Amino acid sequence: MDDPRWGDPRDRDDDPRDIEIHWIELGRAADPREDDPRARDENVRERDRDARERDHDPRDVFLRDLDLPRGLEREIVIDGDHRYELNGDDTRSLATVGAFRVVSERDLGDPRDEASNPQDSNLHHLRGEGLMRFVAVDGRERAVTLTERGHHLLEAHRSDREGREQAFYAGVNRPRELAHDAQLYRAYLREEGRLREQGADIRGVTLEHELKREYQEWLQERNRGRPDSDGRPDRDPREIEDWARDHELPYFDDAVHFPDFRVEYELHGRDQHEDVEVVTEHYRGAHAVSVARAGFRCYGRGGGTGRSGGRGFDPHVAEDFV
Amino acid sequence: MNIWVPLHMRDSVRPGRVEAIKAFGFTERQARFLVNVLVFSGVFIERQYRAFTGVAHGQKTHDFLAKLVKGGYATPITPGALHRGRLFHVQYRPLYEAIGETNNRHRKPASLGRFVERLMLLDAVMADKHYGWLGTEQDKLRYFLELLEKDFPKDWYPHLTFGDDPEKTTRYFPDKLPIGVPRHGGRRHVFLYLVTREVPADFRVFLLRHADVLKAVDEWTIRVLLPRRFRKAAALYRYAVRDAFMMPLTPHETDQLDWYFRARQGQVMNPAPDPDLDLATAARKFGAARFEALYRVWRERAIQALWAVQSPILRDHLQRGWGRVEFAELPHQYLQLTPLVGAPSGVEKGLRVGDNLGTA
Repeated sequence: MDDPRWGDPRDRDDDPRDIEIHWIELGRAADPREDDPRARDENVRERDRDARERDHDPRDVFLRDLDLPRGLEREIVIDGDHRYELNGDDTRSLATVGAFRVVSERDLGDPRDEASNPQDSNLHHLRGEGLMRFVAVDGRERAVTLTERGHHLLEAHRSDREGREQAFYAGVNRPRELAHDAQLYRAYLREEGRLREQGADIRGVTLEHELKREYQEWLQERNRGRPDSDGRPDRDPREIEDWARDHELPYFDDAVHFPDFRVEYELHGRDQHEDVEVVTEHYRGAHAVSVARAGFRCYGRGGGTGRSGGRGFDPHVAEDFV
Repeated sequence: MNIWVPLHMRDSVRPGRVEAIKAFGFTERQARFLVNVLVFSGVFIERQYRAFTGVAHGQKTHDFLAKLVKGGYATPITPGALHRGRLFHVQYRPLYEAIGETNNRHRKPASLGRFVERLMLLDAVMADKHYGWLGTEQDKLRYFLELLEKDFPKDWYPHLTFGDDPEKTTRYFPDKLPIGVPRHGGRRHVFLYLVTREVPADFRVFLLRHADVLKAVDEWTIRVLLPRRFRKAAALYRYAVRDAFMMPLTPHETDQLDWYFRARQGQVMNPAPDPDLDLATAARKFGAARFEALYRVWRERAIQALWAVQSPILRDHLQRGWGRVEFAELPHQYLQLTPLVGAPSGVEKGLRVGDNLGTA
């Protein structure tokens, strides 16, 4: 480097032991990723990929609470006696599956990577790591769910961020509803896109299970710790209606009605939410009327055909309900 | 492949600490700034607060400084003429307790020279947001224990041991200089060094103490911070790196040095491993500054200090670009107190403390 400060006479030799010195300006230090010598060859490719990285990924919202790798390269994550190799894409998939409990395999490709092939996806890597498992949905489609180890990994790597926490789940809890539940994430993708177009900042999702759990805890609040309790809640309809109103859930026909999931977001500086129901061709009669009356945003799973020959996600089914 | 280190271990300014300081009634931005001060310097000047928060000199800055002083969180120090400005020493014990650093030395009074050195380090840390910065001994140790797993012997970390068993105390990372660690997906670690002397004798020791850790991380940068008055010393510091890392000891030299150092301490009765080597010859052969630094580290770590620089790994790192040496000149005036940098330590007498609170 040609700098008058290197005035030492020993500098005049071309000593192979000389080292290269870099003068930097504080505050303008190079991005560490740019000076990585092993990355130089990949700079062009990386730059393209970085540009895509900056693009939105609907799964990113589920990373907010997690302290796990987010970069392109896999890193070793230690969880108790287990060691896993994870990169950012793996973390996104784990968190998303954990948030929705069960997700159709074909919905989990990187939405920014048009060439992504589910067979080459990180899901197989995650299954190999023992963090996920595949479940057959209806003989033609597969879904993924977290294993207990996958769930433990997420819970053990929560960040200490303040505020709302995204819940994560493992395993299938309603086998008969598996086909329905595996569609929730697809409905979320549509709703997320719609909300984002309005400028919303998505904070997370709450599944029906979690909303109902909170409701049951409230119902049983007075019975807790009472040995003489018969276990039946003693809330009167008025109290229940008030609870539903406080939680912005519909109450009619003497019951609180719960959506499949609730999307929580911030828009124009205000915390808001949208309740979403996935409807199938089986939603008919009183159930269909009830869903329509609840005012949930409905996304449907109809009989249309998808690219892979499986059953597609048909928003027109939902038209009956709105 | 790297070991993933949880994010909260990658930065001394972590959310839990910021929340703890917010509980004293500070805003998020103020609390974040204060955590930086608590872990990296203990002192700050108004310019640094404004640069960090992005607010101009005005009512908001005035209110923040007034709150610190009137609440007893910080003591203003006016080192000389009023127009030179003040520095603020954050000394309130509960703040340090809140971040789990009750006994942090930043809380204690120090000489003006030390204060100015810490202001410089605070600037260096806050100027580079590409890295998470570790400031305290425990934060550094926890991070590296996680990164390098438990296989890396603890006595390979830079350390100093005081006293004898059973009251032996070991201080890790005794240079107390911030270390930058990669946040997401990066590999490079940045080891700051602040130049406080024309002659790089202490820098040589710093390099030798860190040799094992540098070998263990994938990529590293030694970032040498140069106050203006030391800018001409850069060449000597460059040669110190060359001496330490580009000229690994041969096994024969290691044996000779170990014998020579023990002889200097009166520990050896055996003749030198080389029949031609006697004490006078060894003193001439190993009289260079690099060997004097090695002797200082050898007294701390014995033969391990020599083994650490026997390997050519660090030379390879430098040649491949995995190791990197950077110089950064510190551009600020620091209340025109830069000449005090490197001055002998000791608490300054006659400082004007708390003399003009009305303008805070």
